[in-house]
Amino acid sequence: MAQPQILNRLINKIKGLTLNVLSGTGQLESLIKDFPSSPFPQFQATERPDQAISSLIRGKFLIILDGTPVVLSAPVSFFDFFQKPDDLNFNWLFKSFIRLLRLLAMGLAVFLPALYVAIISYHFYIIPVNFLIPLAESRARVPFPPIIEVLFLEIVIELLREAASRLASHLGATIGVMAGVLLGVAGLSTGVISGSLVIVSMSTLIASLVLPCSDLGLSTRILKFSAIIFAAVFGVLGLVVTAAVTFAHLITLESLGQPYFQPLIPFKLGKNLQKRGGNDGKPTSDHC
Amino acid sequence: MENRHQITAKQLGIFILSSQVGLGVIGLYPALPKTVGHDGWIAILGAGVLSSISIAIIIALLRRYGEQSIFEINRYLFGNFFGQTVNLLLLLYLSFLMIAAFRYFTEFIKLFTLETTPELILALLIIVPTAYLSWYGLKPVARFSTIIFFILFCIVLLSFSTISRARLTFLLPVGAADPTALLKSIALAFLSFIGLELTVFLYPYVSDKHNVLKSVITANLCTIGFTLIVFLITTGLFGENLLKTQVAPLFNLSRYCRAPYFGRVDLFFILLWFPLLEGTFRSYFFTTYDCMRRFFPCKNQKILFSLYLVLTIFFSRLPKDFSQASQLAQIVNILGFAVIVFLVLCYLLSLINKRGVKSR
Repeated sequence: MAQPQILNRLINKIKGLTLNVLSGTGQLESLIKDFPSSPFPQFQATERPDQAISSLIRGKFLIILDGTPVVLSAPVSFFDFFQKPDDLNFNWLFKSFIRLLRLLAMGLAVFLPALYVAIISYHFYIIPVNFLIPLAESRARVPFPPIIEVLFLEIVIELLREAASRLASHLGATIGVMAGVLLGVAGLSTGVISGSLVIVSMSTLIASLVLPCSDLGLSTRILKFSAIIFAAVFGVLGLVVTAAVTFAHLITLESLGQPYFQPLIPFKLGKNLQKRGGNDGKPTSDHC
Repeated sequence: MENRHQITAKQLGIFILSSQVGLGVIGLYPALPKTVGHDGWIAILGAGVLSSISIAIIIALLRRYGEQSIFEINRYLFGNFFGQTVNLLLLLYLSFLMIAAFRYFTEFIKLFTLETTPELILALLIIVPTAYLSWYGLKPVARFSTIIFFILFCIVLLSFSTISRARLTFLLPVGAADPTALLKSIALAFLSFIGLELTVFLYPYVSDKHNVLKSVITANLCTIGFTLIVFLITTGLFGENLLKTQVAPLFNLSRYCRAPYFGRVDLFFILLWFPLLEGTFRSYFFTTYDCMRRFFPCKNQKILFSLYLVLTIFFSRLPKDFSQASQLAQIVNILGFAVIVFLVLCYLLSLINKRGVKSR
């Protein structure tokens, strides 16, 4: 099921490394991936045996590094990061629904705050009149322009996430929730942030937590900030350009020579249908 | 990325479709209603048939020479010196069209989204996705063009959502236009099919050449269908008199659309317009760069590409305003028509001068 030429490519990449120390699979990944500067993961890291087995069954290769619990699988596609091994336990209908939901979550996590900035700063005319009045009232108390307001809240949320990840799991969750609630209430009552922004930022946070892969979550966070900045400068056009460049990057990317955005682009209908069954996955490609 | 220029015939078809519909549909207005009024759809159909015949002839020409592009074919047909001169003229045509498309694209973005932003800043912004894709080769450019189907689907959906407000009487009586004007308008409507000539430059990159005819003809049929739908619906909605005064009826169509819970929905369609308009520019930008690369071989591709990028932005700034940009686009469209006629003549010439023709 696996393709020997992909394996040879992988072996050649690993053989080509000249290293004295290799501290982990993450370091290895950054050394052998096709596009080293890309924010998107090009190998799938897992500690779960069932996920590793699932990858092997689908014709992928595993890189196991002695002394580390993390295994890398490749070649991967963008859509592999929206799957979890547990998904196989569901009916195909639920499975497809959950994956679509995760894709939507990624879109929201990247573009929702930027869309808010673009609409409030430039294109407020798309908001219906009966909603425009409460929105204007909530914004009237905020002394900052939308970009400062959004960046402030998003940076606080990122700090909170980082702080929560450094603490023990039971402490991290409690402190995260408490800090979020207290900061939100204090920010609203002092007029530092508007109520509508709290809704937008919390929706973005929830959406980013839906993504099953942490590597993709990091890419999402980086893209979110660039989209916010471009939307603040160029409005919806900045948003479209960010989306276009991201999309262009995704279709240019390859994982071990295999198109990253397949089976959507290049479109492979047979492959889409097979994936639904969950036991296909020849990582074949005609390089088009 | 291995074989970063190799594409399939299907991808070439999508690439051609993308290059045709972007500025082609906009370029059609308001010239067509001014010449033949509401009978413009007959002109579109006529031009569609004519363009399909041109495609068949052009691909027949390419097939006679196997793996060669028009640059090699011209050298066989006209000899080394004259062949290279013709090639240089073709390269100039591509550059001219690409620059006109870019300027037109920038002007539209300025007119409909950011009126106060300096055009140079807009130009620098909107060239980014195209430049990024073109640097990585034809394959990503062709892959990116696939989104044209989603955009066309959304625009057709928008058009049909306004159909209830269209009047059939605006399209009647059929055939009211003067036959001479109708013939003239076929040439005018042919301009929205400009883009098909890119086949002759990219043909060597196609892996399954036997499918090229089918794919490019299918792409052309899609363009005919899309242009017809847009023309019929906008004429039915605005009427020919109002249509003559509009710069971009497709933009105005979105203002007719009403959606619950939104003040205005035209913003969503502006989002769709960006990749659609960019399609024409992207196709010509890549093809011009690729031809330039082949024409003037340079070891350092980074320098050549950077220079090309800077020159594109510089030359696109030369027209003073929107009206000059429109005039430039009209001249370029006529040149496109002339290039297609030239390619048909090349086929006829290849029947006489058989140098370089592959035996079957």
